[in-house]
Amino acid sequence: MSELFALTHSPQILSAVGVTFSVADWIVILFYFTGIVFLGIWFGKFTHTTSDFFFGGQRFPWWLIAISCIATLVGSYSFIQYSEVGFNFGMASLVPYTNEWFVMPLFLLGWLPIVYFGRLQSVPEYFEKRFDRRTRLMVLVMLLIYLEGYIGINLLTIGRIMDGLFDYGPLVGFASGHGLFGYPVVETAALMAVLSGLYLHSGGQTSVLMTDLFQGGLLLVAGLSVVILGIYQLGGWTPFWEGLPATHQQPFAPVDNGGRLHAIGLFWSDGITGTFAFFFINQGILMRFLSAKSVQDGRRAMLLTVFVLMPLVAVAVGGAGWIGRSMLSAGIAEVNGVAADDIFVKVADIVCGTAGLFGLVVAAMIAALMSTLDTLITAVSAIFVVDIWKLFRPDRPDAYYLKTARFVAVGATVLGIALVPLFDSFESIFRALSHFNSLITPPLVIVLTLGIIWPRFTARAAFATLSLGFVLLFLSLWIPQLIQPVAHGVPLAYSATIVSPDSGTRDTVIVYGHSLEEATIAAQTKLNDEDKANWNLNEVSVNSHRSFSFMRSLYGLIVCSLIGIGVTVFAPGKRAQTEGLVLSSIADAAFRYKGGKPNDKAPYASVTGSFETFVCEENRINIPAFVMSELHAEPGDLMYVSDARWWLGGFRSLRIEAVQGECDKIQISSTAVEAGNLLANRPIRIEKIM
Amino acid sequence: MDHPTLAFLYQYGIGGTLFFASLFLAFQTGAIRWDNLKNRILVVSMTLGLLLFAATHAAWTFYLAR
Repeated sequence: MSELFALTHSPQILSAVGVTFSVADWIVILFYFTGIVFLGIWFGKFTHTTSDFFFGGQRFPWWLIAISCIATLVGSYSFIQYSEVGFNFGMASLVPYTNEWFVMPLFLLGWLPIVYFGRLQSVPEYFEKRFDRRTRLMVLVMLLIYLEGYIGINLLTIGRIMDGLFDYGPLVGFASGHGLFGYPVVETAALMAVLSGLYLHSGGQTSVLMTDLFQGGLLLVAGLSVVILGIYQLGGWTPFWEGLPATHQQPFAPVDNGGRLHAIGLFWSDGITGTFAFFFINQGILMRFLSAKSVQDGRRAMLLTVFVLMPLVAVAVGGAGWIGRSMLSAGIAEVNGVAADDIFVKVADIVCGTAGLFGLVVAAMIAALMSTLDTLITAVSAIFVVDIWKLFRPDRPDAYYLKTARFVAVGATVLGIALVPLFDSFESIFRALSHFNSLITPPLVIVLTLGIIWPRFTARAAFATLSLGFVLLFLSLWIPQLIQPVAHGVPLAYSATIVSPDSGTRDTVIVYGHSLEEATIAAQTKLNDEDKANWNLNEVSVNSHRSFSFMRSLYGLIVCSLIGIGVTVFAPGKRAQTEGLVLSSIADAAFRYKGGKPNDKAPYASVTGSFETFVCEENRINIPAFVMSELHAEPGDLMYVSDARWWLGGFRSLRIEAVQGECDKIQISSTAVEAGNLLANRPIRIEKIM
Repeated sequence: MDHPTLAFLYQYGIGGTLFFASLFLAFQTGAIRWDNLKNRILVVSMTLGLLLFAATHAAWTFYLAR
């Protein structure tokens, strides 16, 4: 026994960044993987229809949706990216997770009820109903690029992380960093994709939501543990806080920070465009909210997410960077010279003294990948089946579409793996991601916003905004001066070519300046700072692709707004469809969704009790008059019937139309019992949805 | 003006305008009604959430500036 204990605690250095793994860490990772895959496959047994596969049967409560949202929000790159920001800029790393409030009214009061009551299954579907088919197709193409790009970037990031952590080449007789086939990043990414795909292929959204519950919890626990242990190791809050430079203690990034991360760029690119893209346009997130048992639960889920969970996540993913910076001030040698993008792994390794704990942190990073990846893959699958396949193969049985969805999920995974080498060729994936986002999302943001709030906004205006907006945004990649008038004084990026006088080696450094002279001085200063004062500065020129990474979003929002409003006012074309699709017609949408006037009396009433089953081929519930009265319900109201154990998270539940029965006890048809996975011997809870 | 205060004013000035303009639009178009209990709770929760975050950021910025 003592030998086993010694073995599990024996360190094995297998990593490129010099972190220490013990056998216990490996065991924790293996257990985690096995557990989550089996859990996902088990929940997959309860997927019967495309509605279950894509939307989990619209039966999940708010708290489950919120946790699942967090698991999706935290990608595999989040720990690495935000710890890097925390290390370089301090508390400003909290901003991206605490600036969602500004678009919340539009989401909760406009977009969510529109898609939910409109029974929309995909984002492009809205664009066809509200505008026309060509607008839908354009949006469809952009969305698929957006989602597949994200799949590729997530896989690349986890590939890089895992490749850095597990240098398995020497274990199988190859050189360090060789992997099995000479491309370890792609190999590891592919392995991760296969593991995620295993349960996704089987279960779809039900599996995703249920496994996210565990993944989201693990993400928070592991990230927060690293921060708490780090503060403890530094000697408490005061030494930790005082170890941070004054600029790192500020809650916002500097307003004027050269071309580096700055508060105004972060507000427009992340707070407005990024948040809008994530919650409104990301099909994966939309599907989360469509899985909610009611609009009310979707709204509660969002409030819990932005009010409580996102601030916690902000600390969990960025805190290691603060700890690393404070450790540097405290003179802890192990963090000396560690690259900012390795700081999370290094700090986690330092603070996780107990064998197995570091394994848990690595498992959390894997959880981040799997939970984000599965969402993106189901999203691609949903868009493909709903927006493309059903157009070419209409009126087929549900089982046919379900089978197609599963195959598309596999295809999306394979395509994502194929994109890994492409993204791997970028110098920095995050810079690429920033450009990618700012190019794609502003036209979608404006068309969707105007579409929701302005009934006059026409199909012609929407199409013009999308197409011209994309053209002008792409143009700004080559002519960054287009962005300059709205750049709030942010300088242009310049590439400076430098040559070593000794070896003749050429290199390029990126600097920022308002003029060529200023950029040249900045380049010379940078060379001096990097002990390359004797290198020759050959050429300094504008780097158009690197300029205004954070301000391109604002430029896109402004030009797209001008196009949309201008075309609507001066050349509107045919009036577009608005019924149930704009703010002013949400009440009509709710009426149509229910098939009658929504019943808003006693909105929070519920009844718990037992039920009896009767044989019937329809989904049917007979509710005694006294129960109807207690719920302030009327025949025809939409009810939510679930197992009384709340912690099952709606897993055993269904939504059903109320029928007042001449009975003393609640009666549920055998078909409904089966559809809701209800257990005959367990009490149920009934609540009125609308 | 020091940059943290400016960043705070910029974020909550423009963001707050967008927030309250959206709320105003929702009421004006009838998307929500004040006499509906669920709507009322939602609007109050959202507004309190925004104000709480703004207050926390303001207090933090003020504490460091003193």
